[in-house]
Amino acid sequence: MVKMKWKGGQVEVMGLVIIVILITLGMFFMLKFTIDEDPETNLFIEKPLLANGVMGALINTNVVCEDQVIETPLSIKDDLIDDCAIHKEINSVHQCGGKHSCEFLRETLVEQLKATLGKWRVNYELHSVLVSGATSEDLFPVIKSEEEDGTEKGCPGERESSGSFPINVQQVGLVENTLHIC
Amino acid sequence: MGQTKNKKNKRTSRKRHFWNFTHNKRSQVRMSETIAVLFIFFVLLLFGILFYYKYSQISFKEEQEAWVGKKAGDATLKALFLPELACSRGGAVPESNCFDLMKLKRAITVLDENFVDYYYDLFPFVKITVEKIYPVEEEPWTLYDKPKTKKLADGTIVDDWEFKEKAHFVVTLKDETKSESEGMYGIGILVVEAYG
Repeated sequence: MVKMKWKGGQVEVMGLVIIVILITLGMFFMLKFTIDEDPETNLFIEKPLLANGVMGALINTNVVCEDQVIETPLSIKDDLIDDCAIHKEINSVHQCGGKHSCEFLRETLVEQLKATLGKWRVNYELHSVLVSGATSEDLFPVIKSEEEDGTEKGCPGERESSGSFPINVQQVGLVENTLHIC
Repeated sequence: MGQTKNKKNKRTSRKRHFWNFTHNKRSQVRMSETIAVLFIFFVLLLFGILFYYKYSQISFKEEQEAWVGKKAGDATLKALFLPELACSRGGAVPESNCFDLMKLKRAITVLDENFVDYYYDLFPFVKITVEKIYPVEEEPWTLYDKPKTKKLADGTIVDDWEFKEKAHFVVTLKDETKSESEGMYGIGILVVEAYG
């Protein structure tokens, strides 16, 4: 039978190993604390409240067409959403630069969301759904926040909602607008 | 006989000398080992203390920032519901998250004139700005700006804040000088900065 001998040298080696482990752990934590900075901007406002404020402001806005095809500003709530829902598949009454009201409306919303939430590095998703009878479909493609390289990100995980902003469009149905932020 | 005794004595003293020499060397090695261990121990202790100091400093700063940020958030909510700024439909029903531009331009002087009597309690050490971003970008209106200050021994007043935290909110800006068909509603950003 081989007898195990516990020599002083082995104890010292064990001590050294423990020291190395401790130093490595310390370095690891230091690196974690220095590198792992939260890139998200602090909003200091409850997210549902902010989403509600943004959605409310967007819906109420009067949109100006810069090429003067439309002479008077149009209300998103009363003119553009109405027109887009009624003339979704055909030529719209309101056009800007030859663009259909749905396209022009979406472009305006994208621009304004980029100028506000996008600038504050808050991710978002805007859904505009036309509910008609038992069916529902997107009024225009969902607007999503973008990464720095231009790829869409949106809010795939946990998110806060503005609540629904319903707009009644006569003879067509109801347009439900919801902004999610995360 | 005497000679052999002498030789024996010499041998014993040489042995002793050798024993002393090796014993001393071993003690020195032990001593340097102990010193090395103590050195490493103190280096580790120093690392620990530095790390803890840095960590507590950062967490204190974060807490301070969060507190000042909360102050900015609270001031934002108060500003949103100020009757001095809020839009109203038919003179009675207030419109949510909406500022009346005519009221806003006038409020700058109102807020400044009544700062001591009333507004300081509502907005201590904050700066409130409104920026119009749509349809046309305009120079921001500074509604209120009261930074933390202190008076030096020679009487000069200097700033007494280290950092500020910003809270933003999107608001509707209503221009009553225009009709709805002329673009009465625009988009603005309410920016509240709290001094910490």
